[in-house]
Amino acid sequence: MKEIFKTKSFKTLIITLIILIMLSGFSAVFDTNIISSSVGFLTVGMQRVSAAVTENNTEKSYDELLYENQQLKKELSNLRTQLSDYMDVKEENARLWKYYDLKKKNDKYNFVPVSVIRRDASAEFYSFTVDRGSNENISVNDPVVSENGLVGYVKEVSVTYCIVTTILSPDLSAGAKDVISKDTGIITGDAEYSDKNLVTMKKLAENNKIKVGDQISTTGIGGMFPENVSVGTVKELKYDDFDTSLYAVIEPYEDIQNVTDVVIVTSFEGQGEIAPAKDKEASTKSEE
Amino acid sequence: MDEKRNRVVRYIAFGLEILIFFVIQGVPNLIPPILGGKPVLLLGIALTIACFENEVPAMAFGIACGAMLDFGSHTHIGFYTITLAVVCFFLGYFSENYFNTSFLMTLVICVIFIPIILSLDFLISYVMKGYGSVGYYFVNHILTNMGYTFVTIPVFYGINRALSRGFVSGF
Repeated sequence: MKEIFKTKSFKTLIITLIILIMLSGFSAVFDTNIISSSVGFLTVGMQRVSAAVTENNTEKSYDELLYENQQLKKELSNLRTQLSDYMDVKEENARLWKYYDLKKKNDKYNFVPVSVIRRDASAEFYSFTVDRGSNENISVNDPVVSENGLVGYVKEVSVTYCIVTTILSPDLSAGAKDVISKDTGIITGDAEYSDKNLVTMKKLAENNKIKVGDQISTTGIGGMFPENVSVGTVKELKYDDFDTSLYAVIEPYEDIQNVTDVVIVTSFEGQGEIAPAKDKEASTKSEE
Repeated sequence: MDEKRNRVVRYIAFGLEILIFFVIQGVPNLIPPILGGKPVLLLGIALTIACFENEVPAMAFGIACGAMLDFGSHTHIGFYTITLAVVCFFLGYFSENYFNTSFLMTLVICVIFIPIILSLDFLISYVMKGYGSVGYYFVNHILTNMGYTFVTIPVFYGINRALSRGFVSGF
């Protein structure tokens, strides 16, 4: 049994462990994981293809795909180059149409449409990987939204992909308000609610007028999320078991656990400012 | 010469297996969750490969699976890479010198190591970060992940046994 510690293989293990621990230490200090980034860089292409395949499979049957494939082959012989360009443009167009309303309402948003390419069993609170990275001007903490509402924020960025933390995670805190009563609070995730695709709204004022069914949107305070992005509706009001404070359970408009297409807002009015633009104007006026 | 060639082909086959299941594991909405859990496929692959290989290749495949799991779990610490390097090294050594790999033995090994590794990951990446509802999360995610991962072991045992035996005898 003790012989193992004298073998050449054991020395190999020790050397390997030292290298791995040094790499982990380096990753922790510089906030980047060399091993994971390399894995991600090498596999992101395959992941895009596999995600696209499963996305198509949910919409079309085998026979339909076979027929479409035969048709496409015929067309391909005549229109190989044009068809390839056309398909790219068509797909991009379909994705952009989804966000046309969003852009119309918020013309000062700059955003990048992205697709979810990876969701792992070991990733907590339904965080996921998307197929665009820093080469599209995406940076850490950029908000992630869909046509239905707030989804999360960018936690980590690589050149060709990035990792999104969802609103179901306790790591996310966003200023939110009741659209009707104007009561404010903090949206954050909770382990018990995340499985049911629910989030909580905490730090409510004692005399709040929040009611079940009210709509919740972001306040923009903190400068991390744009103002007036829809979050969801109030499902129920509850008291915390520990400090008996009131909190609201919010049902997001978006199905965070299964969302496949989202947009990353790379710039918006009030980004990085502590107070949103309107509050800032109001405070400037009151100062005058 | 033939033995060397077989070994190289076997390692390539293991590499491809890891790559394919890494992609499958991450495809959104492909593997249906059962009771909130999903299988950690690469953990089962690393453990079963280690049962058929000696210590250094077992460690190398453990590192490969671990690096991919770390990428998938979005953590910086390299937990799976380091843990699987050590576990697979010792599994490889013991399977080479102390016991004959059998289906039952592989199941016993997985029953021991899958809960240990997933619980350690839970401790480091969940409990130590101070998240709430620890009991709920453990029961509804970690325990179900353990069970679901364990269920996949016979599949990987079969694949890796076929690859291992096939290339030893040259198919």
